[in-house]
Formats: sequence, C-alpha cells, structure tokens
Amino acid sequence: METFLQLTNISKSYPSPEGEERVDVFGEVNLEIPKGSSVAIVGPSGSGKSTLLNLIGTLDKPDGGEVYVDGRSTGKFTVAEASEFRNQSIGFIFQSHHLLPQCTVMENVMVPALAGFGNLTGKELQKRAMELLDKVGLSHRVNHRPAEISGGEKQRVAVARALINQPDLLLADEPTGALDKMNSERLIELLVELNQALALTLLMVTHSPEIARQMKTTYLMDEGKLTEF
Amino acid sequence: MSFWKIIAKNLLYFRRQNLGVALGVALCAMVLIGALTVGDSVRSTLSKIAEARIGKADMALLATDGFFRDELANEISTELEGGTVVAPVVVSRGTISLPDGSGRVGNVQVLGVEESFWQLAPDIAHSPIGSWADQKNWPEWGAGNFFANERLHKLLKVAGQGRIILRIEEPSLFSRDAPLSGERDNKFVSFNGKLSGPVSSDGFGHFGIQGNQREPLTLFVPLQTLQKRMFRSFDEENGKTDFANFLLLGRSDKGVIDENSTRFALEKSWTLADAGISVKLLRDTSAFSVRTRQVFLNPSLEKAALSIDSDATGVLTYLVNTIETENVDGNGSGLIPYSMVSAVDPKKVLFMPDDWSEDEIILNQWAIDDLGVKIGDSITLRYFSVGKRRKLVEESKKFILRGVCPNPPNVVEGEESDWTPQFPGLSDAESCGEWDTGIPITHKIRPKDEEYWNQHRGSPKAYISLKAGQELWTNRWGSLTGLRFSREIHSPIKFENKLRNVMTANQAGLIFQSLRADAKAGTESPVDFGQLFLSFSFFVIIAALALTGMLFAFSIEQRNRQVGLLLAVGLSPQKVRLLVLGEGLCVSIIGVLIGVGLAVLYGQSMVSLLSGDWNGAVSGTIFEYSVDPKSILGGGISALIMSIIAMAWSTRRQLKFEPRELLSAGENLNQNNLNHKKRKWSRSLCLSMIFFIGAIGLVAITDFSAPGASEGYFGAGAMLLLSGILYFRYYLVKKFGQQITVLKVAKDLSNRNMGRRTGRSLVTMASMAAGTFLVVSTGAFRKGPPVSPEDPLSGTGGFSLLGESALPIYDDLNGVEGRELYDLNTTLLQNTQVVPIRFREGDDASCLNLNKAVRPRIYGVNPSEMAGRFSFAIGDWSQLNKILPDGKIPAVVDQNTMMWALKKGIGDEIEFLDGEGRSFSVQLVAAVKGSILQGAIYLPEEQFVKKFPQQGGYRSFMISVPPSESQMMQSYLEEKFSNYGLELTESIDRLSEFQKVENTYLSIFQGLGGLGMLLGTVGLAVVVARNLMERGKEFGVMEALGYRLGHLRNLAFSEHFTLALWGLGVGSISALLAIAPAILGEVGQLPGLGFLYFFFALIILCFLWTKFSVNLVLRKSQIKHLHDE
Repeated sequence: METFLQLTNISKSYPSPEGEERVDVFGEVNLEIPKGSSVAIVGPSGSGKSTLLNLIGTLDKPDGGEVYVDGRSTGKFTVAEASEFRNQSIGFIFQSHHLLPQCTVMENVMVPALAGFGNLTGKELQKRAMELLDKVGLSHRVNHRPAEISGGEKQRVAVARALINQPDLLLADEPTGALDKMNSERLIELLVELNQALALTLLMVTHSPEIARQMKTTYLMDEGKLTEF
Repeated sequence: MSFWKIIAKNLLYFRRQNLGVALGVALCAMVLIGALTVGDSVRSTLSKIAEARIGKADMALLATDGFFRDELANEISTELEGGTVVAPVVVSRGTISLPDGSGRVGNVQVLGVEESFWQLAPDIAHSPIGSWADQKNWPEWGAGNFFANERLHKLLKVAGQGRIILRIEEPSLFSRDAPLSGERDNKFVSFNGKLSGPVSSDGFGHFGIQGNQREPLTLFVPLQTLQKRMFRSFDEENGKTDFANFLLLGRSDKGVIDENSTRFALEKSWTLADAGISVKLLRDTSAFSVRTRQVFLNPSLEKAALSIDSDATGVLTYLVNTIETENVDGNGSGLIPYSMVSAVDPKKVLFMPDDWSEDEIILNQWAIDDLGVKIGDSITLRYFSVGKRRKLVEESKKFILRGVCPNPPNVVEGEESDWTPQFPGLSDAESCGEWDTGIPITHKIRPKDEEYWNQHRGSPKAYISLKAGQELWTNRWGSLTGLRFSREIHSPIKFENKLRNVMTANQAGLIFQSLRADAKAGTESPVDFGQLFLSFSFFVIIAALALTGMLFAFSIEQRNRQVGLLLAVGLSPQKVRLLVLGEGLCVSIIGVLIGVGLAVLYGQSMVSLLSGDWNGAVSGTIFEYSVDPKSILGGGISALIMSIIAMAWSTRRQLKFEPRELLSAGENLNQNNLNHKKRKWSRSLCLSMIFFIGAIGLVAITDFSAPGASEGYFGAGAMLLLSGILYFRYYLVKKFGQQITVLKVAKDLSNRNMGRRTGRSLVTMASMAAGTFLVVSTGAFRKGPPVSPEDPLSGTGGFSLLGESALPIYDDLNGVEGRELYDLNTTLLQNTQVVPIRFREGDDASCLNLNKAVRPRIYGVNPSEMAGRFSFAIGDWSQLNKILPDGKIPAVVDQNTMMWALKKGIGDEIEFLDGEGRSFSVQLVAAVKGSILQGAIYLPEEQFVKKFPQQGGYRSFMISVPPSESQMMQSYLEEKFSNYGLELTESIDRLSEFQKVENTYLSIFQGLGGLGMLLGTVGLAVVVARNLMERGKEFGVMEALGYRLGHLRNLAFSEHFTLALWGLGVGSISALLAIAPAILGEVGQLPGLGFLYFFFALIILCFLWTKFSVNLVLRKSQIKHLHDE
C-alpha cells in the first residue's frame, strides 16, 4: 500500500531542568504508515509517545530526521505553513477535550474554521458541523455549552472538531484517558468507524492494550526506540 | 462562527475578569483625560481673564515716550468704518492716599478716559456709564468723580463715596535725565475727588495691556479732569491740555477691526504736532527751523528732515554756566554767568569766516563789552553735563576769540530767540531769577544780565562751530536743537507736508499694538497645565496600566489551553494574537467610556485643588472647570492605545509558547521561570554591591549644607534603591530559589514560594520601593529660604529689600546730594546701599504670571553695581560689557525665566521695540540660578538709555541693608518716597513667592504620585490572588496532608506581605538617605507629617489588600482541586 506517513531517523531531546544538559527522549526513530491505516503506539509513561505525536502534528520540531506526511516534508514548514497544514491535513484529539467553555457545542466544532484556510461558506460549514455532530451522536446537544454535557460527550465534540476540515490524518493522544470504561469503548468504536468510513489514517497513543488491539498495527515505544508489537 | 462572535462570547463569558481590566483602563483614561481637562480649564480661564482685560478692544496705539493730540482719536475714527470706537486715554501711574492718612496705595495705574472708553468694556451695562451705575447709585461719569476697580477699591476700604487724594507726576516735555530738562525734583499734580465703584471685570475693571491673570490696581479718572491738571504747563504757547498717550481701538458691536485699515488710517491722520515736531518761522532770517517738543532732535527726525534737503543748517544751542576770560576773579569780574551759546556750521552763517578753526569762538558785542576782551584772547566756556544718576558735572573748554558779531535783535515777551529752543523752566521765565533749569545757580546774576534777558531773552552771546559744539553737548537724545531750511528754496507749509510724508508713525513714536493677538498669544501659558498634570500623574497612569496589563495577562493565562488549542487547530499566532487583543480592544473601549465620566470628576477635583491647597502654583488664580471635546477624544484615544500596548506587552510571552506547552501546562505555564544559574544571582549581588559602594561614595563627597547637597543625596538615595532591589533579586534566587536549605518550619515553605515567580515577586517589590522612594525623595528638591539671605551669592543677591516706585526717581540715593534732595537721614542710611535700576514696562515673565510673556519687562542695570551678586548657572555680570556684533545687546536673565517663560537658551535672541518703535535684538549671555531676578531681562544701563532715551530716572530698586534693619528701612523709605509710590518687599519674601510655585509643583507631584502608589497597592492584591489561585492544587494537597486552612492562610499572608514590606523598606530607607540634607543639614525642607500618614496608609493598604486576597482565595477548602486532578 501507499505510504502516507513516514518518519526517518527522527530524534528529539529536551533541556534538563538545570538547563545545562539535554535529555534524549528518543533517537533515530523510523516509521512508515500506509494511508487509511490505524496505528496504536503504546509504551510506558515518559517514553516519548506524545512527543512523537506532537512531532508528526508539527506541534514540535525534531532535532534530527525527517517527517513526511503524504509525501510532504514538514521539517521546513514556516509557521504559517505549519498552521495551514495542521488546519487542513490533521485532526487532533487530546486526552483533555479542550473545549471553549464560552462557546456552544456547534461553535466548538466550527472553531478550526476560524483559521480561514478553508473555502466553505458559513452555511456549508454549519451543515458539515451538523453532519459530524450527528455522526458522533450529539445532534441533540448542538446548542449546549461544554459545562452542560458529560465527559464522554465532550470528547466526542472534540472528535467532531478534529474532523471539521476533513483531515487525512487523525492524531489522538490518549483520547480516552479522562473517560470511564463505557465512554472509552464508545469513543474508540467511533474512531474505528470513522477510520473505516472516511478512509482516515488514524494514529493513536494509548496505554490500553485493549484499545491498541482494535487498531490494525501497534508499535511499542520504549527506551527511545519504536518497534512493531 | 465569526472572529468577532468569538470575541463577543469571550467578553461575556469572562465578564468578571474583563470588568477588572475595564476598570484599570477606566482609571488610566480618567487620569489622562482629567489631566488634559485641567489644561483646558486653565486655558479657558486665562482666555476669559484676557477677554475681560481687553474687552471689545482689538488694538492700541501707544506713544511710547510722549503725548499726542487726543483729537487724533476722532481723526482716525473718521477714516474707519462705522461702529469703530477710538478712545483716547491718558495712562499714568500714581499714588492714592486717604485724606485722614489712614490708607495709602502706591503704584496705581491711573487711566484718564472718556465715555468712548467704556463703549469698549466687555459689558457696557456694568461700566460707570451703564445701567448698573444707576442701580448702584453711582455718581454721573465725568463729573470729576473717580472710579476704582475691584482690587483697588478693596485695598482702599473707602466707605460710601469717600474722598481720596490722587498724586501723579506732571509729565515733562522731555526726559528729566536730560540736561536743562527743568526743575530737579519731580513736579506732582494732586487731585482730590470722590471715589466710586468698584468697577467689575465686566465693566472693564480688569483693563490693562500687560498679559497677566492678576487684576491690576486701576483708578479711572475722567479724561478732561486729568488733562487739565496734568498738562497745565505742557503747551506754554497755546495753553492746550488736550493730550493723550494711548488710543484704544475696537468695535462696540461684535466685529473685529481690520488691522491694515487701522494702520492706514493712522498713517493718514497723524500730524507732526502729534510727535511734538514743529516748523518755526524765524524772524531774523528768511529761514524756518525744524524743532521738537523734546528740545533735541532725535536721529530719525534729523535723518528725515535732511532727506528732504541735505543742505540744511544744523544748530545746537546750550546753556553754559560761564563765559570766562583768563582774568576771572572771585568777585565775578571777567565772566558772564548763565548764557546761551550756539554751535553752527561757520560756512552756513555770514558772521563766521570760512577759514574757521574748531577752537575759535565769536562773541556778540554785548559780551565783548562786558568782558573787555580783544581778538585772540582766550575764552573759556564752563557748562554742566549730566553724568550717571543725573549727577551734574561741570566741564570746561577753552577757545580763542576770533571775532565779534552784532548784538541780537530784541525779542518780545512770549517769544524766544531764533537760535534757542523752548527750554522748560527757562524760556517761560519772566526774569533770570525765575529760571528753573534744573542746574544750581551759583554765580551772581547781575542787573545787566537781567537787562539782557529782558531785551534779548535766550539769545546766544557766543557762537562756536557745530563740530566743536557737538563734541561738547551731544547726548543720548540728539545732537541738534534745530535744523534750519531756507524759505527761498522751501515753502514752510510744503516742507511740513513733505516731512510728514517721509516719516512713519513709528518714527514719530506712535506704535500700534495688537491687543487681541497679544491676548491670544498670552493665554498660551508657558506652563501647559494639561501636560504638567499628565507628567505629575505619571504614577497613577503607570499604576493603572500595570493593573490593566496584569489583570489582562491573568485573564489570558487562565485561557492558555484555549490559546494552545487554537494554535493546534491551525490558527496562526498572529490570528490568535489578534483575537486576544481584539478582546482587549473591546474591553478598553468600555473602560475608556467609563473613564470619560470619571475624568470629569477627577478634573474637577484637580481644578478645585488648584484653586485651593495647590493655589501656590497658580499665584492665587481661581479656575473654572472647562472641557474641550478634543481633550476627551485625544485622552480617550491615548488611554486606549496605552492600554492595548500594556495588554500586548503583558501577554507577549504567553503568545510565544508552543501550542503543546500551552495545552499541557495551561495556566501554570509561567511557573518556575527562575534561572538558578550561579552566574546570574552572583551578578545581581555584584551589581548590588557596586551601587551600594557608589551610594556611600556619593555621601562621603557631598557636604550636607552645600547648595548641591539635595542633588548629591538624591543620587545616593537612587543608588541605594537600585542596590536594594538587586540585593532582593539575589536574595530571592539564592535564598529561596536554590534548594540548598532544608525546610524546618512551615514558614520556610512560604519563603521558598517567594522565589517561584521571581519576576512577579521582583516587580511587586521593586515597584513598591521605587514608588515610595520617588514620592518621598522628590521632597528633597523643595526649596526653602536661603540660609544666609545677606550672602551676595544667594538667590537674593545679598539684597534685603526690593521694590518699585510709581514715579521715577532720578537721583543717586547713595550720594550726599541725592540724600539731601530727598531729606534722607544720612545716619540712618549709613549701612544702606540702594542700587537703582531702570525699568521698561512689559509682561511679567516670572512663574507668578500664568500668561505667556509676549513682551517681557526690561531692566537696565549697571553691571559694576551688580558684580559679585547672585550665583550664575552660565556666565556672570561682566558678560553685559560684551560688545556683540550687529548691534545686539547682551542680557542677563534668571535661569527659570529663560527656560520656562521665555523658552530660550543662552545665545538665543529676543526682539524688542525701542522708544522710537524700531526693532532691536537682545542676546541672552548669562543665566542666574533661582533668584529674585525672575520675570524680566537685564540689559546694561548704558544700552538701555540708548534704546529708550526719553525714559528717565529709576523705578526699580534693590536695597542692601543689614537684615536687622530691613523692616525699619522699608517703612522709612516707603514713607519718605510716598509721593513716588515706592513700595518695597523683603527680597526673601519675593524669593519665597517664586519658590512657593516650584514647591507647590512638587507637592502636586508628590500628591498624585502618592495617589498612584495607593492605587498601585490594588496591584498587590491582584498578584496575591493570582499567585494563590495558581497554587490551588498545592493547597489542596497540604490540606489533605493535615494543614488547617487558617494555617495555610497565615503562610500565604506572610509570604506576600513580606514582599510589600521589602518594597516599602528599601524604598523608605533610600528616600531617607535622599532627604538627609533636610533632616540633618539645613538644605531643603523636611517633608511634613503628611508623609508619615502616607507611609501608614501604604502599609495599612498593603496589609489589607494582602489579607483580602488571601481570605478571598483561601476562604474555602482547596481539596476540590484534587478531585479535578
């Protein structure tokens, strides 16, 4: 199959708290993910799973190596190019929903459109947001505020928000970390369904072997190395 | 979902935070706009005062040193369009006393006016000819009644229509400084009349041509009443008294007169008589002579007349004391006393041969016979010249008798010789015994002298060459007493017309002044009170902006994750910044709108303080509050921009973080920004030590009692402040930041916490310290009276008294002659030295005048008399002896006057008009440090009299007298010179008046700075609340570990109150050092009890705000934060 995401010799380190030395997170990580695939990355806390996700999502920059998404090298993106790339090609789902408390569910879903990269009109955008909310089962919560819905629902709004610009790659960083078992299962079901229905490439960081098993491929990140599990 | 919609939602959702931010902006806008409206109020009040001062008058015509026909007013008026009023006025100065001797007011402006003057009053109804006069039962105007303005009326305290005695100087035909100007003592004219009024400002009671907010002391006298007595001996030939020296021009309706048409009308209307110029037909020759009322032809007139015919014959006639032979003896033989001698070009007269030598003389037959001399004999002329202080100096010159001329023809009574001008006190004398020429008559006048006078009046007995005569008798007024033209060439009438046409009104001493333009220019106060209050409100503005920025930054910090999310989903950093600042802009607009309302209250409070406690800064002026919409707009926009900048600055770092950092750390993002590198904290310690040593060094080299002690100790205090702040930084990092100590008690934990947010802690402490220091230590610059006012180098110049007289005093009060003339007690005056100063009226350029000095006062001083007096910032008195290129005149000026009122520097030039209306340049060459010389510029006397030759005598005096005798001397001299309206002030009081202005400015700065500091304590509350909110989880954990909530509150309070105490401590210790000269030495003034109250208020507010914030945040258990985890 066609390679959608490719990491070549990626390395990353952070300064120590004293600021004098650097601590390596990982070095020379390589990864290839085909388009439409679903991948789970598991590993102990602090092993660099989220860092890897941030590098792929251009939220951070690697010290060495190259990240290719759909054939494009993200390493030389300007700030503006990175913003457009994140907005148009990537959908993020975080452990916490990060919904804007002042906005309604519908408005939260539409927040990425504020970046102004897309060319949909307001009505078209609203229609798409409505479809997505319907898809995640929240069409009845459109005008509610985040404070008025449950944790699971909030995370589903976050999923809808991630999909509003029809991205090719969905990055989920422990999306069920703050949810109970039932809500976790429902969310993963939704993500798998979307992966299949929309041919989205799904890359998820998780601690849960059960969730990892539902992905097509699983990698283990440990001691700075990434190996297929 | 639009960009603006999300902003609107943010505004509503975070309304509590935004309200706080809006109030910060409102505070800033309140102070900014309020300060500007103070400027508006000052400008508006000064403008109203100026309007009341000039009424409906637009222009004035001044005869700078003479008088013209009052008919000129009508003649100009007929040339101008209907509705134009031209009012003739006699402006003089005088002294008013009450008949019973119970009161006296000197140096009063006396205005002789007629009804036309009142037509130019701001509101004619309030004038003595208006309807109010009937309501108040004022007597009819013009019936010999006097009207006082409000200020004078109040001073005179005359009940009902009581009587007053007005004494003014009878004007002389020409300067009493001049030789042969008449009697030595001033001639006074007294009036006894009923006093009415007071004339209010609406009725023209404030009238004056000098731009000043203070109401002058003015007495209005009907013009004819004044003229009849004042000019009684002005025109001996025709007995006319209808003279004036001032015309006031304006329109009685609301229009404004056209300046060009008015100037044209004057040029068309004035006559030679208005300038005192006459063309006299000579009886004995077919010629006529150009003469002037001022006896000596001024250079402009001479030039103009010669431009018509350069072949004219110049004549200079002078009174000599004696014409002597070599055989003169003590019995009076061999000399002729008191004779006129004329100087003329020998080639222009038949009785003098062409081969004339400059040392030759011709006597008439009468003199030859009287002296018994023959051709070739030596003849000596003895004559008086006028030295400094009108001191008569007898000089002599030897001539050789060249010839004899016939006796002059007889002169009928009431006429004068063709050769001799009308000398006051001489030409009108019936006999030699009546001569009043101003020179002492020491030689016996013989019967034959009387006989000669009866037959020939002042006909010359001798003739010398013009060149020789001009060498002897040329003076600052001129070098000719007549200029003869042949009637065979010129018709006198045509010549008169020609002469009139070649001269301008300016050359004739008739000078126009644009009152309205000057009044407008004058209201542009040299001190812009709007700007002044803005700068004085610096702390309040900074406090408000800091509060705004801090509240806004905290509000945004709470939303760090939102910002992270927006960045993560692809919004560019610029767009997110725009979103954040867009919200800030909306909040700011709301804040500014609230601020506009508050600004009116703030401005009104400031204006009422200026009219009350801060009145010293504005010389007692009462201001009306006034708002210019431009100030609201300008102030509002400025507040908006400043708030946005404060918001952008305070959030600049937050918006630079990576989205992942924002998403993961959220509102705790900025924590632990402490850099523990040893190099950094050791650098703080080193710098702290350097500043500390610098402070000690400065203290060691500065003398407590030296004049520069205030500045030196202020510098030392500032260094100590920096040292303290840097040491605190070191303390935070070293003591609390580095984890080298072991926590022993719970308090150690709170101490450790101070170092968590080094920046925030340091800013809190440093702003407290710097604010306290500046507010208190500025007091070090308050000025007190000089330690030794008798010290010539002090601000008093060593003079104990200074003052001015209404009428000039001509003689040297230090000399025996002068003291005898004024009957002064020589024993009493033995320790007194009077330095007389010539004085040209002008605008007061001192800090007591809020108006801009358009034409500053000029004084003429003798540099040698002032040498060694006053301290100079630049140059000294000897600079006045400098000869400058292009005829520029050097001037000394007080430094404050130069910088603030004149807005000039050393080397700059100022243009003035001389006595004949010609422009001349004055260059500032030296500046005196803060002194009683404020408000004017000082020229060398020698140059002064050249520029203002007609202005005689001295009207300003600085008197050196031992301090113990100064009060006695003040009373004595004021009494002795009461007719002259001499009013003296202790120089130390005058200096205090000036210093009061500066000191009040400092009080305003300290007052507003203190207010800023007190408001700044709100910032402490915000910082405390924010710090504690960030640590909610930490407090939750501590509670879970068994800490009581009360204990946690105490720990938090102690941690934050310590910050405030550090700030106050470092600030006050530094401030105490800065004001040490006032505490331990004798320089400057100690801050009053107000500062102690300020300190207490500051400590109490810091205590209360910290307590409030701690109790607010930690009022409930923080364990809930653990659930969130």
